[in-house]
Amino acid sequence: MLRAAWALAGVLGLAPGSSEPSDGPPDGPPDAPLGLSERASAGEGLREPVSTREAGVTSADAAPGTTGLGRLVVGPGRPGVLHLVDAGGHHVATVSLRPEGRTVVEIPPGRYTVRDAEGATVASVEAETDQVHAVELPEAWQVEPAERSRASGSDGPSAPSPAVVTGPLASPDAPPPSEVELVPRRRWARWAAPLLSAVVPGGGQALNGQPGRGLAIFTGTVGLVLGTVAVWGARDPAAGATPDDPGPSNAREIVRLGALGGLGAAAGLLYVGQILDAHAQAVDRRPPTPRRRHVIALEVARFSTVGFAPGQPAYDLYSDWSLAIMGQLVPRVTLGISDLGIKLARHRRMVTVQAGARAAYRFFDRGRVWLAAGGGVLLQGTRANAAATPLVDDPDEPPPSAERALSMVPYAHFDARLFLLDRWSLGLVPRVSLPLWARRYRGGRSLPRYGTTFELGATLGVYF
Amino acid sequence: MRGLGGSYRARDAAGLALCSLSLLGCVLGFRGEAAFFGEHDLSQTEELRISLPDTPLSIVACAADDAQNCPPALLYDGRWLSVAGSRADARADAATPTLRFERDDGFATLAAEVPLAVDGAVDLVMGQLQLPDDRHIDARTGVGDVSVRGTEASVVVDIDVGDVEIRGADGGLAVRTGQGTIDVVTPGHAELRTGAGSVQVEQSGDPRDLTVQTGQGSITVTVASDADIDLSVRTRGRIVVRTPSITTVTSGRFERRNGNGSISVVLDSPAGDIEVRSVDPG
Repeated sequence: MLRAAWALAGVLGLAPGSSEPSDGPPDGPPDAPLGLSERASAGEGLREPVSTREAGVTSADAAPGTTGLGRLVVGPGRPGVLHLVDAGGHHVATVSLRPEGRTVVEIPPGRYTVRDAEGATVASVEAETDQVHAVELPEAWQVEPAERSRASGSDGPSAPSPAVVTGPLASPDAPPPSEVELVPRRRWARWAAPLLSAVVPGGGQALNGQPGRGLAIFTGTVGLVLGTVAVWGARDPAAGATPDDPGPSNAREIVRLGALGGLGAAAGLLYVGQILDAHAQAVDRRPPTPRRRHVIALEVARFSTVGFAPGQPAYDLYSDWSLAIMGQLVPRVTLGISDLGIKLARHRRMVTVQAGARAAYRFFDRGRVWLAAGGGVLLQGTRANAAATPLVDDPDEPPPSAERALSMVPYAHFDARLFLLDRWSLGLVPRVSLPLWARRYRGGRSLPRYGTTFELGATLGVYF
Repeated sequence: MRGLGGSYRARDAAGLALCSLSLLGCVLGFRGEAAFFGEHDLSQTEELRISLPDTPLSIVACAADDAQNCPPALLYDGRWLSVAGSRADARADAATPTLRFERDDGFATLAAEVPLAVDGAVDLVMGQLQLPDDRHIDARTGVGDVSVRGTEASVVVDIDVGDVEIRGADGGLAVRTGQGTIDVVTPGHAELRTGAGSVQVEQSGDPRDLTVQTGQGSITVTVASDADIDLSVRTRGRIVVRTPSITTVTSGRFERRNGNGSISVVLDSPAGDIEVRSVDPG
């Protein structure tokens, strides 16, 4: 209620390109920002949510000075009523959308949810002190330019639409701008931020004005990468070379390999995640709305397991990169081609082609988290040069032919996904599989048939 | 090659427990083992190439003129190790691969034949190989230390990772290891290269040509004589030469030609220290 008491709503009808008030406030001077005057009175005693009112705005209205409040700009949009709810669930303001103009609300800093009349979340937005943020409405709430033109009664050539300025509010001492120009958040940052994050982890967040977040991401990513490199470097390349040398202990090797796989996966997820985050933060800072009704999903996955190996070292890290194309047949049920990949080995010029089929049911999808379970079967075909070539060609014997092998690996998996953008998610996928024939990995390594395998997958998914 | 049947040992309980506890995942299964030994006639063979997957190689040459104790044959033993999802598979897989010996006139080869079905799931551990000392040897493997002792003929060793120890190779020696130390005592000429590791070589007979290269690591050479030596040393590390007629401590590049310079000694290392001594300290 305190936030509600501080909330001030001014409905500012912006005449495109005009410095004249179109719907001037009946009780406010043209050079006195309506919101400010109302905030003053609200701060002195208002305790009830304040509904927005329509008011005009002049160029002077855009220079309210440092207020300690943030401004949200809503609309134009289809006629209707939206409600602003603060992080504590308290109703703060009611906004009447109009197709012909924008609505500006001054509110205390904080994260707010925009809800429709039925209480469904329309958008989320964060208000910052002395900053202006645009509330991006879903398509269902947006109006076509033509409709907006009709609503504003403009018959001639349409004047340039006003935009929303993102940035500090002007000082009260500053000369009033000749024209109110509101532009969206820096559009170039939508791509520059993730690109910068791809080059320097955390750089995009810093570009978005979140240096602390960027520094934390940079430190975390570099730490994980260095840790991965250090653990990888701790291996003994000559393990097993010396006769009767037991080599590193099994426990040490398992811990090392587990750390290698875990750190590598964590580094990869953090790296990809912070790129997506940089884009999300540059666009707006609302929680993503996952595409529940997607038709196709593309997934890149890396599954890893610590498995035993013949000889020394007695254990090895088996990693498998693959691609999946999943279709959503009916809501929550996906089916598609999975585990697509190719594995090469110099040894015997071995080539393994891999593909499979997978089905899954999404049993939980609230907010940005999806949980699913399912299963599938992975098929492999392998070709390798002959195991041995004869020293002398025998004209009576056919030359040794390449060897070929097939493999089938049924599996079941659990899938936990976190959406960072509406269409992009990162996931962890524990999986248990049972190879019915030897399963091939990169470098000619293999896991034997009937070797029950527990794997952990790290996935990146995009939904269309 | 004859097998001695298959034996197996159960999974490593401690390792399995740790593996199960790891968040990453693990594989459940069994380990198998099958021992073997082999004997192949080398009476018409002058050179033997041993080309095997990752395994240590220990080659011992016996005196060819002692027919009683040194038959003209290649003798060896070893074992195959396997991993599998069941005990029966572990036992069967370990017994599946074979060593294949072939001969063509005076040249013979010993190589492994691993069917694709078990490729990647078996590992070779060779025991000792024995053959007469007048047969030339060409030994190749991936990861594995190589030791050759007593050969009077030439020796060639080519491995990816592993230490190399040579005693003999009167007929000449060539060694390449991608990573590992080289320790040689030979009366023959030698050409030694290692990607990473130190080299120690001693000329135990008459002066012979010698070439040593290391990617990183020190070189220590004991030459038979410096009388007719054509010495060329290059390293950014320290160069120390102490022979009867040469004494220097320097770095960078050092060259010296004594007598007619008919014995070429070339030592090259990017940064390792190089020391040259003489059997006869003078």
